[in-house]
Amino acid sequence: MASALEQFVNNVRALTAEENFRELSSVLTKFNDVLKKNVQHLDNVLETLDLQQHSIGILAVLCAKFSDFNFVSVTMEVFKPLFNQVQEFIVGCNGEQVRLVPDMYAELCHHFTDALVEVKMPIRGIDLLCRAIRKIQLYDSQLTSIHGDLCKLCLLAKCFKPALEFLDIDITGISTDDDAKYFLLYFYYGGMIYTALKNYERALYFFEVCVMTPATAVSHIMLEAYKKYILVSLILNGKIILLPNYTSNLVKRHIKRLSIPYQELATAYSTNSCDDVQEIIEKYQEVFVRDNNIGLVKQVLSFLYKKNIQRLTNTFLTLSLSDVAARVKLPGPADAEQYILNMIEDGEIFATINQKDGMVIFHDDPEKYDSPRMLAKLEKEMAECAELGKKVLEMEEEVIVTPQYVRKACGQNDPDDQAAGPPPTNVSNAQSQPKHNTYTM
Amino acid sequence: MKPTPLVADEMFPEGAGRYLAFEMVTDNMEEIPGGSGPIMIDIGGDEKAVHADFFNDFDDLFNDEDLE
Repeated sequence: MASALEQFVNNVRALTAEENFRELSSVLTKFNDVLKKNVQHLDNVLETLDLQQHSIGILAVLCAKFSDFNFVSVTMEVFKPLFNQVQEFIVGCNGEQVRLVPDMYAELCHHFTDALVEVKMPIRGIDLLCRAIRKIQLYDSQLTSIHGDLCKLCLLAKCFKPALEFLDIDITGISTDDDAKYFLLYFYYGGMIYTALKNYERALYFFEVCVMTPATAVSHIMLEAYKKYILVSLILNGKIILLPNYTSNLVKRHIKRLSIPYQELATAYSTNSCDDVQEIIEKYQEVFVRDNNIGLVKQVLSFLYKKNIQRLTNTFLTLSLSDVAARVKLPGPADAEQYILNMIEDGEIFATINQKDGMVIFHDDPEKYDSPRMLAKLEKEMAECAELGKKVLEMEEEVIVTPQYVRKACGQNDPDDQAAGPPPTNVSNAQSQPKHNTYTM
Repeated sequence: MKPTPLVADEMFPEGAGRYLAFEMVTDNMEEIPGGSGPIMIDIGGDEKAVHADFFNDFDDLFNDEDLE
């Protein structure tokens, strides 16, 4: 083993024994180049370190091994030894130690994810990344940059359930390792997972968070999120829901200009004409296919058919299937029947079909909002709202006592803002709070 | 409250009837709460665009036709 590597091992052992992890982190940075230049000896280095005791040292070695890893045309067979080492590390490492070097830990997970994408085995990393997140999180609602990696693997593997375990928890804090790119990716990929699962309400929320994130440059992630935001918004609400007014002006200015086919689709949708929507789909077919959004665009058209059938229920008590088909511009009565059956099944309309004479009889909604089940639902939702209100107040209190906020609220522009320490970890945009007094809330 | 504009609806050639709830069809996409002016402006040459290389190479996950 080269002497520089011996020095590395000695430093790791000595500083770990002293529990001087801060010093260890800075030493590791200095040894970064040494490790990268001696990749062929790194397995020997790993043998001299103990997984639990020297987790930070091992983490640095594994990151260095990835820096030398050739991602192009790699096979699982080639990647297997490194895969096993990462697996062993994530399962057995000391959580307290790796939480001291979140950047390096996240870097390892990003490399690991990239390698699995390259070898086309995304499913192999899902369970491990779940463990990796749990290991570094300080609390369940903390977002780390590894969340985005997990969602990426779940999307590629078309296996969404493991990601839902994290996506269903509302984020209240962000890990300090978080690069804005991974924050945006989490909400973009998360929105895609919810869209694939047809949880459009949650999907819209995720895309909205992605688009309204404070920004000083136009992000391609935001742009793609906005395209999907438009489509999901049409499915859910029949129109584009305006972005919140705190969306950055730069984003508001540019993303609309860069998503014209989607804007035109929304305009056609607003006329309730399936023919117009179909025309736009044909006009921009290539764009929608290239964006991998054609499936979602077709869903938009399908929802317009449903919406138009639903509108018929406002006017008619009975209608023949062929009449329904003619009015909503479906090809024939069989298509109309299929749509109506699906809508009945999903509780979107209440109707019966008389097969004998091909007539549809529309009924009123049988829900009278007086059942114990409805009361229980109402109580549950009120409890959720109360809990959310409480959480917002807690976060508000945390923000208003930070020195930066107090100075800004008083209208002082203190150049020492940076020196005053970081804003609270659970509020990413504390500095962009308006100046008006929020103490009255 | 904004007046709801009436639209000619090809689905109801005989007219809407008094029970049909008309939809808002104005395209209010150009409205920005708290903002003003048109959206469609040119991007200046000095504007930055980031994350051009982000991974977005998934199959079309939203195609219902392949479920049938």
